[in-house]
Amino acid sequence: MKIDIKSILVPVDESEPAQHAFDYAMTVAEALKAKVTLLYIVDPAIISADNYYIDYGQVAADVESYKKSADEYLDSLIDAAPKDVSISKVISVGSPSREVYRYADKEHIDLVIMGNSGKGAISSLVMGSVSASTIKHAKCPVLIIK
Amino acid sequence: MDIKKILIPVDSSEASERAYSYGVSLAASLKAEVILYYVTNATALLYPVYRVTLAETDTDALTAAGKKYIEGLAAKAPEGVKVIPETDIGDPGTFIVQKAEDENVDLIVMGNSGKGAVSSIVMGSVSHFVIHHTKVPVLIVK
Repeated sequence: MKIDIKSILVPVDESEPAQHAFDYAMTVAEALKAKVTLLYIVDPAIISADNYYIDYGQVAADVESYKKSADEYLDSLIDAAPKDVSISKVISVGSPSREVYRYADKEHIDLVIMGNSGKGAISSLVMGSVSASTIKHAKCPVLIIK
Repeated sequence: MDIKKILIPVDSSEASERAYSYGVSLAASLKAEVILYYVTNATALLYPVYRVTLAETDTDALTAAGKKYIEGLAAKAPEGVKVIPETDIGDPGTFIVQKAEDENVDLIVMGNSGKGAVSSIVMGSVSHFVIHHTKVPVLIVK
């Protein structure tokens, strides 16, 4: 068997494991000459979690501002990346547990590299729900980084 | 950062054979060496006899079978990839985590469901244990 890894998906948020996953992905992508897609998912459920009631107009406005800061964050990652790695960025809105594997399947991604716990996790030793869901549902191999 | 050493734990399931093929191929691309690791499950040995330890000759036979199995796999590695076969007897999850730490590996490649798993849709209990307990990156192959 000869594996051919041409496309790597790296779902990120601002967490430390996501940063580690990004660094690791750069090493792998450079060695394998693979293209990297950074995926940032804005989760409206988290944006509205602090409120007692949900004001949908406010959520929509917040989503826009989160998308803007996500875009700046992705640009900062890309700026710090090795110049010989081709990186693109995608920002989408939805539930990360679903969006990561859906995107990977839709775009025929060869490998997902992701941090184990996002911002919501209690500890880095417990598997994050997004990682667990992605391993369970994605058709491609998934590399989990702490 | 460099990926120089890859641990590939296997049992004799199809999922772990796929993980092995994937892992050695990745090792070839990354110019990394591979530790191929088979742990004879001591807890599985206990069940048939209601938790009375089997005679040593039985564990020896199982370990010998495991050794033969991974040496067969190691022989099928792509050219240029150094594969070191190793075996142990114990609890697979605990031993894999320990091995990764002792050998200072940069990556663990493993299958999603071992022999004990109900279905490949459910994550294998060993993979699940390893992801929970190791600090090393883990690549799960389906």
